Amino acid sequence: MKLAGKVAVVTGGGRGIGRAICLAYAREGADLVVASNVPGEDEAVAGEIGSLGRKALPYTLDVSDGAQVQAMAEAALAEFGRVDILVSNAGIQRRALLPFSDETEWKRVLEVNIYGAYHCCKAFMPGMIERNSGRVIIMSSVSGKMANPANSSYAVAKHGLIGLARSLAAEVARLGAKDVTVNAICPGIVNTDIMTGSEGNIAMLSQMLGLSQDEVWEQVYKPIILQERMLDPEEIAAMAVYLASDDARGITGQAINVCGGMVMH
Amino acid sequence: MILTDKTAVVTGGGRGLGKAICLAFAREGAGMVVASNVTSENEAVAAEVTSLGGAAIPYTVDVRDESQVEAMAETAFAEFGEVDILVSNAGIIRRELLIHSDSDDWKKTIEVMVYGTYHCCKAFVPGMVERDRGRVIIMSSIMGKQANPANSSYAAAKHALIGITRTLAAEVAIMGAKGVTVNAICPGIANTEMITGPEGTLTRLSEMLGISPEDVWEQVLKKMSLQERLIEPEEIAALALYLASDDARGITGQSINVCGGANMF
Repeated sequence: MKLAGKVAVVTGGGRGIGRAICLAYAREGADLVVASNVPGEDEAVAGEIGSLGRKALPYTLDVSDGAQVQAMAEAALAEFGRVDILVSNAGIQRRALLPFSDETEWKRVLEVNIYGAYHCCKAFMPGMIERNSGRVIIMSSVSGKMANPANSSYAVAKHGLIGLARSLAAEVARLGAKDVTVNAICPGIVNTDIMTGSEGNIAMLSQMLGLSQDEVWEQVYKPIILQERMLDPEEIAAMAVYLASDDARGITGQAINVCGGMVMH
Repeated sequence: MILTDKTAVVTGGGRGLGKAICLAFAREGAGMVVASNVTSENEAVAAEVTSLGGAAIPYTVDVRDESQVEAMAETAFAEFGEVDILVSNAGIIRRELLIHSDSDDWKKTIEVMVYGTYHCCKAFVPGMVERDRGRVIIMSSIMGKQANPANSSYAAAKHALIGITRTLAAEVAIMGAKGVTVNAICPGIANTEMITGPEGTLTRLSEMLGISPEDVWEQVLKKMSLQERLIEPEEIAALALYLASDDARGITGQSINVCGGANMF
């Protein structure tokens, strides 16, 4: 087991990629704080972790609120004593063409994705730096490296998270904590609610473009993915396990694509 | 064991990164051809693989010579039936300012790394495409992404290998072999003979700059990476193992840095 005795906090842990990361970490021996803004979903995942024989603290919060994140950090430290791994994964999207977008909605995407990551890094990294041991994994996206039409707030937020990962990697090293690594994962099109759910990308684009959902996949997504398939959340979780492990101690400041060949830079 | 019943060919397998990859693959159950241009070294590594319980053929080859690579492929197919994983890792370095460089030496660097990789891909990828299953791992370098003064042939070759990686990833997918992935690894400054050996970079730069090898480390190399340390060959082998595994089936066309934060692109 690669994460035996480690403690991880996973935001957005109640579903999709975050849930897959929670379960993969538990299988590798980690205990977890499963954080999400949907009461019930964090508890369900925590229950699954318990059935794998690991400890899990479900925690309901809005990561865009710094005070709530701070309270979660206190709860995590009270329960587990320390946090070794932060996976900042909570994210939302609000699809709209920029000129037609609602300003509050557009900014909300940045508040959850970027401010949420900022709050979590600020709450959990001081302990990692003090111990000179830790892993920060930030969920960016291929949208952090390319245009995403009718989704500018998401692309802006995901680009911003790569800047955050790179800067923070340099900061912790210069503070002397060379065994704390900070990296981003950039998934491509993954089979989660944000893509295939009832309010997901395929349903949204189907409405916006006047195409069937099958046509959206065939005409919009499939042609830009070499492997012409959706990724499974477990493939992202495997990268998150690798980056959290001792094997990846020399990897920092990177934004690694797991995308079936959508983006190569 | 994650590579049970898999067969690999590792060029430059007799020392350094290639040796670490052979041993890591063997520990995970793979059989392999240990290829290098130094017979005693490939025999020694093959013996270590055998002592780990794996099957290994030592093979002496100059990868610049297409007919020698084809002969190696025939031997590999005769012994193992098929090759699942190609690690094109053989490389040399000829440090010199471009304007002072010897033309034959400069071109030899390109021939070993770029032509060598081309010959190996041509010999081993057709079987992978036919079976729609396989892994190609090409050893590039952070010098495939940045300037390397007094080492232009190496930087040119390593940049070119990223071009081969991206293009071959697209070609196999377009041919329908979506189960074949092609990726590059970009190590930073690693603790191998190429850096720390008697004719390695530390010694060579010491001569060129008129400072001690220790000063070369302190003044030139150490500051290149955030972690201010050499990367161990085992850290590169861990990524090779990950890319070779089923977990990484959705990663293709990528060039992933393992460099302690020396390069973030």
